[in-house]
Amino acid sequence: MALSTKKIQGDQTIHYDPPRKQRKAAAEPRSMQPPLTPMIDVTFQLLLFFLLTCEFRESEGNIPGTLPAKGNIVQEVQQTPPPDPVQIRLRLVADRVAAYEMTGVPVVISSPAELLEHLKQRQDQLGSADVPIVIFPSADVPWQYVVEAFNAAVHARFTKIGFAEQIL
Amino acid sequence: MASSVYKKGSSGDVNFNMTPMIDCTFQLIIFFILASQTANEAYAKHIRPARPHESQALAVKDYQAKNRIVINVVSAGALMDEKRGPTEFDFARAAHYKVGHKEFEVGNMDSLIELIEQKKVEAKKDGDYIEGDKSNEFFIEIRADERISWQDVAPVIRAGVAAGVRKMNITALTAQK
Repeated sequence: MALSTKKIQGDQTIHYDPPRKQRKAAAEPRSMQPPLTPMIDVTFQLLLFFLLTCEFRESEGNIPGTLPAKGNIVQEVQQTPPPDPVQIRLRLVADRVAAYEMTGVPVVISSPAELLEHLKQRQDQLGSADVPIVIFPSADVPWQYVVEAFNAAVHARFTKIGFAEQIL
Repeated sequence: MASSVYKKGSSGDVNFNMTPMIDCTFQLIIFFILASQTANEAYAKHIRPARPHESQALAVKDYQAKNRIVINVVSAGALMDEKRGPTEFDFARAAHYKVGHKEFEVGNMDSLIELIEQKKVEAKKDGDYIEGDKSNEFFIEIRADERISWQDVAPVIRAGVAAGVRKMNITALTAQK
């Protein structure tokens, strides 16, 4: 009985292919297939790299603004007071919660949406984007509320927006 | 009997169809390449920017722009171990200001002003901005944690003014579509 041995590459043993296999090999057209193993290896390495290093962040952007000329900010505001500026004062009303007070608005504004509405109304009344907006946050107000006020002023299409520090 | 074991035309080798798996893998790689953001040393980690109502923040077009200096204001609470339970007070104060890899103490404003001036001079020398050209002005980008108190962010604005910078951008999350 003829023994068929397992083929090992580089092996010097004489291999025997049974006649059935020989006939089949002769009858079947040879198909070419490139070795896929290295490509799959690299692909998985890449996939693993991206899975481990990928960091999803929320989309950040910039709200554009300007700064006054070199010098003391407080002095600049005091020496050349802009004509009837709209002042937005920010102060804490509860633990880490701030509210807004705006020139000409008798009530305390508690939400940024309300502040935006008031600023839009003021913009419509004045009909000019050149009226300065001065934001006065108190020292302990979280930055989030300052950004809200600045964003609302930009949204209401005011162009001269500045910050000022409250002098105690 | 033998015909049931050795099917005609079968070599006995088992082949898996790899095509769908490779397709899926490539789809995943493309997704990760497109969805992940490239690391940028200018943007410090552990900062939670503000998300204003109807945000007017414009998406940054060029993260590598050289006519700017990004000043990160890092919250002390964000750097603390969560197990230690940072308080609201910890989140409200700035641990330091960070520009690239450099860290500045909150009180050390002279060094920050010096760095802003230096960056401005370098950018001008390299032709990254032209003095007086409003469309291509040198600017500071304030990237502060939303929980930090105004008193720790205000010095950055003051430093920008002292360094003679006329443009300032505030980092915020863009509006959700």
